[in-house]
Amino acid sequence: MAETRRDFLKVTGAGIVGLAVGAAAGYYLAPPKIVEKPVPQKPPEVPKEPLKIGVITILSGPGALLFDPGLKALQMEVEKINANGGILGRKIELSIKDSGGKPENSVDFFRRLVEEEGVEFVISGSTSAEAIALAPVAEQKKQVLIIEEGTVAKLFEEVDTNPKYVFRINNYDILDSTSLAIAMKKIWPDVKKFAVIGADYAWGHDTWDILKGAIEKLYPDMEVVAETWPPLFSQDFSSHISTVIAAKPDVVALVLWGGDLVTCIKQGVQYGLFKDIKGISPTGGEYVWAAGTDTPDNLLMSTRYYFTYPPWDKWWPNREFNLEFHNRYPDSHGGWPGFNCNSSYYAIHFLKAAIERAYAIYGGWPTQEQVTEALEGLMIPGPGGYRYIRPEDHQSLGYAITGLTKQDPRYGFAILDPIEAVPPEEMAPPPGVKWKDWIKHWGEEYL
Amino acid sequence: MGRRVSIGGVGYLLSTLPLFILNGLFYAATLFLIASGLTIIFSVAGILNLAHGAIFMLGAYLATLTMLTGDIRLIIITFIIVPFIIGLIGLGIERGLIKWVYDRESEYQLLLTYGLSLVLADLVRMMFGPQPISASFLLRESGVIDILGVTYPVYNLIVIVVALFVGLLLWLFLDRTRLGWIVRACSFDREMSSALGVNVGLIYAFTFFLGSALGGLAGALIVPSTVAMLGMDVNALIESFIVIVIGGLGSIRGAFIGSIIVGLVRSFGIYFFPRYELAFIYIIMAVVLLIRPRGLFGREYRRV
Repeated sequence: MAETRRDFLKVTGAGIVGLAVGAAAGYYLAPPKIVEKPVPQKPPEVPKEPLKIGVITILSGPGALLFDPGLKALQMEVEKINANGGILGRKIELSIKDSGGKPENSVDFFRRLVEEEGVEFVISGSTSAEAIALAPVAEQKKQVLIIEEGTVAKLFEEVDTNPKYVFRINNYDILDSTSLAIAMKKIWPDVKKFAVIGADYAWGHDTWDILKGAIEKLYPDMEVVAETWPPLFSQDFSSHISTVIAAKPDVVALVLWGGDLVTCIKQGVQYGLFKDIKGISPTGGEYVWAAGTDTPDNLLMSTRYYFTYPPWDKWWPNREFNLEFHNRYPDSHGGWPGFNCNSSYYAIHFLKAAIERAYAIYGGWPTQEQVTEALEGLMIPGPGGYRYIRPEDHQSLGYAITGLTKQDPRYGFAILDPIEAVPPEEMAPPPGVKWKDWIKHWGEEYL
Repeated sequence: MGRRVSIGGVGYLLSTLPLFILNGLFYAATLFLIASGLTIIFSVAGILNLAHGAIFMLGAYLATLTMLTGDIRLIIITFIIVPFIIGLIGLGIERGLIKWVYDRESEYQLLLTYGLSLVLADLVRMMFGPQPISASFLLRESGVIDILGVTYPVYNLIVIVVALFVGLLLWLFLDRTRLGWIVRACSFDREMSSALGVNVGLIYAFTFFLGSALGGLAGALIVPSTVAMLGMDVNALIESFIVIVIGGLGSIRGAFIGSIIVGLVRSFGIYFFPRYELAFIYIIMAVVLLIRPRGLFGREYRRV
C-alpha cells in the first residue's frame, strides 16, 4: 500500500516536474508573438462624417399636438449643438420618421433606420404602445434607444425588466398621479368623495388606477361616487358633466388630455361644474394653454415640466438653462415649451454627455456598450433642473410639477401657480419594485 | 363603482330629466346635420363618402378663423360663409375626383374617399397646426340659463333650434321644390331620370355641394362649445354612419329620428352605465338591424 503510494508519488512528482520543465521550455521556446509586450490598443478615431441620429415620433393625426413641439425643441437643440461644434466635433444629422402613433410603423422605422440608414442612436418620442413594441427590438439589436414619452409603468416593470440599451428620460405616469395626490392632500386635506371623467382607453384607465391608488393611501375613507368614460376625441361632455354633478362629489378628476381636456373644462364651466366641485387633472398643466381665458382658476394640475419652474430668478442654473430655453423656444417657434420639449432637451443632451464621458474614459468614439455604461447614473442640468438616470432600471427622474391654475394676462392663458415641486424619490417606486406593491406602503408621511 | 344607481341619483335624474333630454338633443343636433349630409350624398350619388368627417372638421377649423376675432357680425356671417365654402370644396372633390369612379366597384369609391379623408386631415394640420383651437366667444357671450335649478348654456339651445330649422328647410326643399323632386328622382332611378332629360351629373355635383355644406355647418355650429382638433373627424364619421344605419341609408327622416335616438340613448346611457357608453349605441344599431334590416326608414335599394 505504502510502496504503491510512494511509487505513485514518485511517478506524479516526476510528472509534475516534467510538466513544469516542459512548460518552462515551452514558455521560453514559444513563438515570438506571445512574448511580445502587449501594446495598448489604438483607440478608434472619432469619425469625420456627421453623427446620424434617428428620430421616430408622431407628426400626423391628433397625437401630433404632443410631439410636434417636442420635435421642434429637438431640432432647436441640435442646431445649437452643431453651431458649437457638434459632439466631439461631429455634426448631428437627424433622420425623422413619422410613426403616426402605430407600434408596427415604429418598429419598421427602427429597423430601417438602423439597418439601412446606419444611424448610431435612436430617439423615440412616442406612445406607450410604441415604446413597449420598440424596447425588445432595441435590446435584441443591441442598439441604444432613448425613449422620450411612452410613460407606461409596464415598460420597465414587465416588458424590459433588465434594460441594457433602452433608456426612458422623462418622468413616467406614476409620478403624474402621486405628485397630484400629495399636492391635493396639502391644499384640500378634507375632501372625501371623488368622481372621474376619464378618456376611455389604456392611458385613461391606467392613470385613474394609479391616481385612485394614491388617493386611497392619503384619504383612507375616500369614496368614488361617479365614473364616466368618454371615448377619445369626444366633442360633447355635457352628459358626463351632468352625471358627475348629480353624484355630488367633492373632487372631479379629469383624466383627459389635449382637446378633450379643453372641451371638458369649457363645457364644465358652462354647466357650473366647478362651482362646488374641485377639479384635478394629472398632466393637465400645459393642455389648458389652448383653452385660453376659458380655464377657471384653482384647478389642481400636475405636469412633467412647466416652463416657469425652476424659477428663473432663484439660482443661476435655472436662469442659464430654463429661462434661456424658454426664451429661445418662442423666438424660433412662437409658443411655450411643453414637457415634450423638455424631454427632447434631455434626450439629446444626455446622449451628448454620455458620448463625451465615454470618450474621456476610453478614448476614441465610444461603442454602443460604452455609451450605455456612460448613460447609467448620469446626471445633467437642463430646463427642468437636474435629471438623473437610475443605473438599475434606466428610468430618469426629475421634479414633478403641480400647481393651481390661475389666469395670467401676461400669457393669455391659465398658468400653474403656485407651483409645488415634489422630489421624485417620494413619488416613484425604487428600481425593481412594481408600483402596485410599492404604493401599499406609500404616503404615510403625508397623512 | 362603474355603474351607479343610488336612490339619490335617480331622484336627481327625475328632477333634472329635462337636462338629460336637452343634453341628448344637443348631441343629436350636430349628429343630425353631419348625418343628413352623409345620407343625401349616399342616396343620390350612391357613394359612402368617408371624407365626410374630414369635411366636418374642415368646417370647424375654418369657423375658428372668424370666431377668434370676437366680431359678432362676422361670426353670424360665418354660419353662411363656412357652409358655402365647404360646399364648394365638396363640389370640387366631386367634379375633380369622385366623378370618375361612379361606375367602378364600391371598393374603389371607398378607397378614394378614405384616402381623401387622410389628405384633408393632413391639410388641416398643415394649415392650422397640431394644437387644438378653442374659439368660445359665442358660448361665453350667450351665457347660461337656469333650468329647474341647474345651469344650462344658452348656446346649446341655439344649436338645437338651428338644427331643427335646417331639418325643416331640408324637408321643405326635398318635398316642395322642383329641384328637390329632381334630386329625389335621381336617388330613385338614375337611368330613368336621365332618360327624362335630367342632367344627372349636375344633380350629383349639387348633392355633394349640399351634403358637404351641411357637414361644414355642423362643424361651424359645434366649434364654440368644443374645440377644433385633429381626430374629431373620425368619431363624427363613425357616429353619423351609425345614425344613418339606424335611420335607414338614404333617408333624411331616418337621419333625424336616428340622431335623436342615438343622442338620448347616449345621454341616459352615460348616466346609468358609464362604462358602456359606446357599446350602447352599437347595441341599438344591432337591435334595429335585426328587426328592420334596412333601418327604421330604409327603402328597397336598387342601384343600376
